[in-house]
Amino acid sequence: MSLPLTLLYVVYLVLVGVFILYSFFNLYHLLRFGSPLIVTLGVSLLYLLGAVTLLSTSWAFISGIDWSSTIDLLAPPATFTGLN
Amino acid sequence: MPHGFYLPHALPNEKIILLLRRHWLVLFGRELVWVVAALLPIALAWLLPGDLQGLAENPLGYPLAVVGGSAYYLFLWLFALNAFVDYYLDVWIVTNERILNIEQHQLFSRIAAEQRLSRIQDVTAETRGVFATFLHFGDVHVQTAGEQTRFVFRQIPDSTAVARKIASLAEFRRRFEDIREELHRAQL
Repeated sequence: MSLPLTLLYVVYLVLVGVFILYSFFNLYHLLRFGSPLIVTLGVSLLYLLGAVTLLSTSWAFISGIDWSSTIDLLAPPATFTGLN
Repeated sequence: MPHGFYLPHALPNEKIILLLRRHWLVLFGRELVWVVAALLPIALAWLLPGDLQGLAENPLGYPLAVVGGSAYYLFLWLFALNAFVDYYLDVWIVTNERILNIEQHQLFSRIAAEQRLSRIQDVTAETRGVFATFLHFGDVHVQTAGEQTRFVFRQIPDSTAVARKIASLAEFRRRFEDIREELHRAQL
């Protein structure tokens, strides 16, 4: 039985979608109800900078993976885990 | 307005006297959890370098580690923001007219209560714990004669001084309103 690696990629994209949605919720609350504006804006910008850094670093690693390949789940354990 | 804070539905001639948030140690403690969680994978990688090399060469292990690690750090960053938002949006305000209690419980759950200074009946400061004692922070309980009978200012710096300030403001406000009422009766 083989598993397409694309499945893992799709799951990851769903998680990124959830992350973006909840980031938006948090930033919305901070900017709408927080005061003074300089603090809330500063924190929001810092957060967005961190998020962009994390996403771009992730993309650098993810883009190097061949997602079209499949993984044979019934392969012997030594091969599965990469241990010799 | 001190600190550029926007006071919603401000009354005429209303001025902010105290703008209070939880003590910085509360935020520090909450964020420390996420910092430790962020360092955990790095510590594991340092302790198990051989396994890390095996993982990098594995056709499933490597993609799993990359997406897993990415998702892990993205959500840690999100939780750190959430902890800050939860801390920052809990505000207790004392003006020359009223006290306001604005608490953000979760996302999309926000409670704002206010009460006139003249309706304050009793103010109590409470300090519990080693850190609270040495760093001078604690709770202030304000008993009022309104629908919400009790306001609690949680984990605020200098709780004793704040309680004293609120009590004196409430006393001043009551006397002011008594005098105003007497003057009004005298005019009639």
